[in-house]
Amino acid sequence: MLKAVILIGGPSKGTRFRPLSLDVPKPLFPVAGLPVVQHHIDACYRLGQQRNSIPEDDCKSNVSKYCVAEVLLLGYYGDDELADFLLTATQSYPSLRIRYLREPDALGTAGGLYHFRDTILAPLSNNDGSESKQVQAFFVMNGDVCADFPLNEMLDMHFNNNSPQSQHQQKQPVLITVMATETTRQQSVHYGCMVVDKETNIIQHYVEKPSTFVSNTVNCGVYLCSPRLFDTIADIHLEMSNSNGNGIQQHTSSNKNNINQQQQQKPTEERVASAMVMWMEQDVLRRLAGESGSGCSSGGDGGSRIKKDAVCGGVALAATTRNWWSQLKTAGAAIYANRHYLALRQQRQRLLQRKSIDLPLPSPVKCRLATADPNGGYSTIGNVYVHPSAQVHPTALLGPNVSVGEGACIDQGVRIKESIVLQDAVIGQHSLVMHSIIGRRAKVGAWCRVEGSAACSDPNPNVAYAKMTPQLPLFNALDGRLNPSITILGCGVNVESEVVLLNSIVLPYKTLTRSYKNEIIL
Amino acid sequence: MCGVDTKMAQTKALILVGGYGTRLRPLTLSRPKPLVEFANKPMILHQIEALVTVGVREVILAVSYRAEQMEKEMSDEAKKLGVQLVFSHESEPLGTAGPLALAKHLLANEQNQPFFVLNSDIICEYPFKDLIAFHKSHGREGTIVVTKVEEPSKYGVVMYDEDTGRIESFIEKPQEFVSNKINAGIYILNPSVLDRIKLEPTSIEKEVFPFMAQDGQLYAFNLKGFWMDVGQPKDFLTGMCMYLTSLKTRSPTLLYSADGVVGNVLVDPTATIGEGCKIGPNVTIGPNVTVEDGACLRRCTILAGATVKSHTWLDSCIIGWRSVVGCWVRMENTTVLGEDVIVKDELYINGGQVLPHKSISTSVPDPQIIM
Repeated sequence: MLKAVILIGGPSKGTRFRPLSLDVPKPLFPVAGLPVVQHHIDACYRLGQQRNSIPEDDCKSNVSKYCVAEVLLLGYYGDDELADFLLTATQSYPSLRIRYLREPDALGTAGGLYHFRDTILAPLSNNDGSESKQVQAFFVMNGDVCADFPLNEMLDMHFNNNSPQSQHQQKQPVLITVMATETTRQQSVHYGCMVVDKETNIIQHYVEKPSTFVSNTVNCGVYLCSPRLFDTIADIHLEMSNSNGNGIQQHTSSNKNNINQQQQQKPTEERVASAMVMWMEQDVLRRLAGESGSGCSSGGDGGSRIKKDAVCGGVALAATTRNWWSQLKTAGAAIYANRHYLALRQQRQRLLQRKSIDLPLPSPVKCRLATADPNGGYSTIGNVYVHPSAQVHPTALLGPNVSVGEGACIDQGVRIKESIVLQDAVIGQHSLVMHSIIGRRAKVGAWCRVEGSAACSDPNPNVAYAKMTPQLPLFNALDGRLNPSITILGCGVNVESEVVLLNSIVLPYKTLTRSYKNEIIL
Repeated sequence: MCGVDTKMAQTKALILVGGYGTRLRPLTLSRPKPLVEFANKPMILHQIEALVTVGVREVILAVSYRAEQMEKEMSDEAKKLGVQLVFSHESEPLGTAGPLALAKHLLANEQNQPFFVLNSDIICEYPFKDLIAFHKSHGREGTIVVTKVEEPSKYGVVMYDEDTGRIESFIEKPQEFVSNKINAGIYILNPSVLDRIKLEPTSIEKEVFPFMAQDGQLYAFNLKGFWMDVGQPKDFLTGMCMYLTSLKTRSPTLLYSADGVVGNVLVDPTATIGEGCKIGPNVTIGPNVTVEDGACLRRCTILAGATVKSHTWLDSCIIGWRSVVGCWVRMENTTVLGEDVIVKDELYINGGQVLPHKSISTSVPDPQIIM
């Protein structure tokens, strides 16, 4: 039996996702019709469905028996902020147990896991109550990762290396399998870089956001962990509580110069006081890297306070994938993720239609995702998701890559492309919306033009392995102007008729009576 | 009365058509400026028609460029109006006074009849009848029409006696306010003025009028109503608004009214307008123009044969002949499309000047000339 832990962070996170995170927690922001973290849950759910559906003799994999039984959301949002979502998610995935674990404080990615280690490893009793199953492994997924999660591949690698045969070959047990992807040399330094042995897939060296090039292979923030990983974390925890802060200081300073640091380091005192703040990346992976004893040099890492000679009792593997992968750091990334998730859903639906037999629905969420909608009558281009409760006038033209949320109203002659229209938003007649996000209950008048820049931070399609540009600042350093971005209307924004809005970000509840270009409207 | 008519029949007019009309490009790359339709009528025809109503039977067009096309296109109109058009070709640009010297043999007459001189870019309610009467009443060599403007410092202002109309002096681009009356570009002159002009490039405003004023021979006639020099796109649109407002009071039946029409709109009967459109205020739609469903047009001139597709929004634009503007396009801020321009769907053009026969497939968010 498997579990999955989704790290969703808390309200102080996701500031780069403003103004969209001002009224809805970032993990619940809808992308391709589903809250961001529901794509994680959906992937876990489908894993079970796929594996169940594979006939026993057809299955080459020896891990077909594994499926996710419980999903734990881990973060420090208030319980009420997630209550509605948990309720609907539970209804949508009846075979999954979905719970929220609220951290008492921001404990870091590994700290939070460690705090709830008993819950994570707790066996689940079967429905008939007869026999309880032990947790064989658990996924840990960063909530802001958007990807075509290669959970099967990770399982295969993790368990094949942990099989009795491989143990006979004197291999060390696998504590963690890290989803990895290739990026460009230039972009790699914005991520956790891993040196991976091509033969064994063992991570030989790990460094978070190095200042110089280390490796093209980067950490995707999705892990498959063995229960024994907690022993390692316990060791680290002990070491960190024992150390008097000197080491911690060095540890934090190694990243100090990196402006786009992924995790905000807490002041030293605070870290020592709570002593529980631990990161998967800097603390756990860095320690595990090079544990295979294959002689990879670890001496170069001068800032490391953790002695590499400590026995960790296992290795870390990297499962490198070429699947689509991105992070949802900025609002602009939502448009990019929307495009890919829509394409994935479309692919899955086609696959279903082709087989059209007793395969269960891969996603329990009903959606209208088609090139022409027979009921609504409106026209679409490419992938479009429209919530069943949304109203779209027959003369409207949507797509490609458009998501329209619950209760939204799209009037006659409206054109929308490459955009997300959130719940209860209204788009007036003959208006054009492109490369934009229209916030909840926002209202756009007639003959408006709401336009963002075409995916300025999107990966360069002509460069292999290129990823989104994560470090694009909001303002141009040269002239202080707003860098081209998507256009975002915050919640409840009202745009009067015949207005043009270009590359602008509008904070909630503003009424715009004139046109704006390249501005943030407070 | 009969005698007066005979004399009037001998009154001639000279229209300073001039050169390339560069200020009205890209429209004038396809058609000589006087033939560009202002409110669905070639600019020069507005003037010729007004001249004909006061009995002018011979109009001299001082041209230096593309005279053939003008002769060809204007001859039918001239015949209809019963007016004779004489083309006076300049082999080199002669300024605003030189063309008068060139046409001296046509303008001079034994009866000493005065003649009109007009700049071809001027749109107003031409006051030719009152102008003749005023000119005759003071009996001096020349009368120039003056008009009140809001920003006189951009022009040369005319200082004159409000009671008699006698002009005292001209002041070029005054730094401080001295007067808000400027030369409106419409004159009536006695043939004797021709003796003051040499056949060489000369400015009538700077090299002829000041001396006539010194001699006490030049009078000012105050223009009533609107006036605009429509020689460049921005003013062309402003002038169109003024013209349509004036048309509303003079002959409101010429204006178009239908569902979704707001304010003063002029539509050629051969144009088709779709459903759910919002047209106006201040829109001129030319012959054989198609405006598809759900378009919104404000303060625009759509020239003959152009198409504006569905859901498109246009404000302060001139759409050239046979141009096609796609769906969900937004164009504004004095965007001018030359002849046969194609603007693809969903684009935004802000202050673009597009040369003829171009196809535009990317947005132009800031004012720009598209070659």
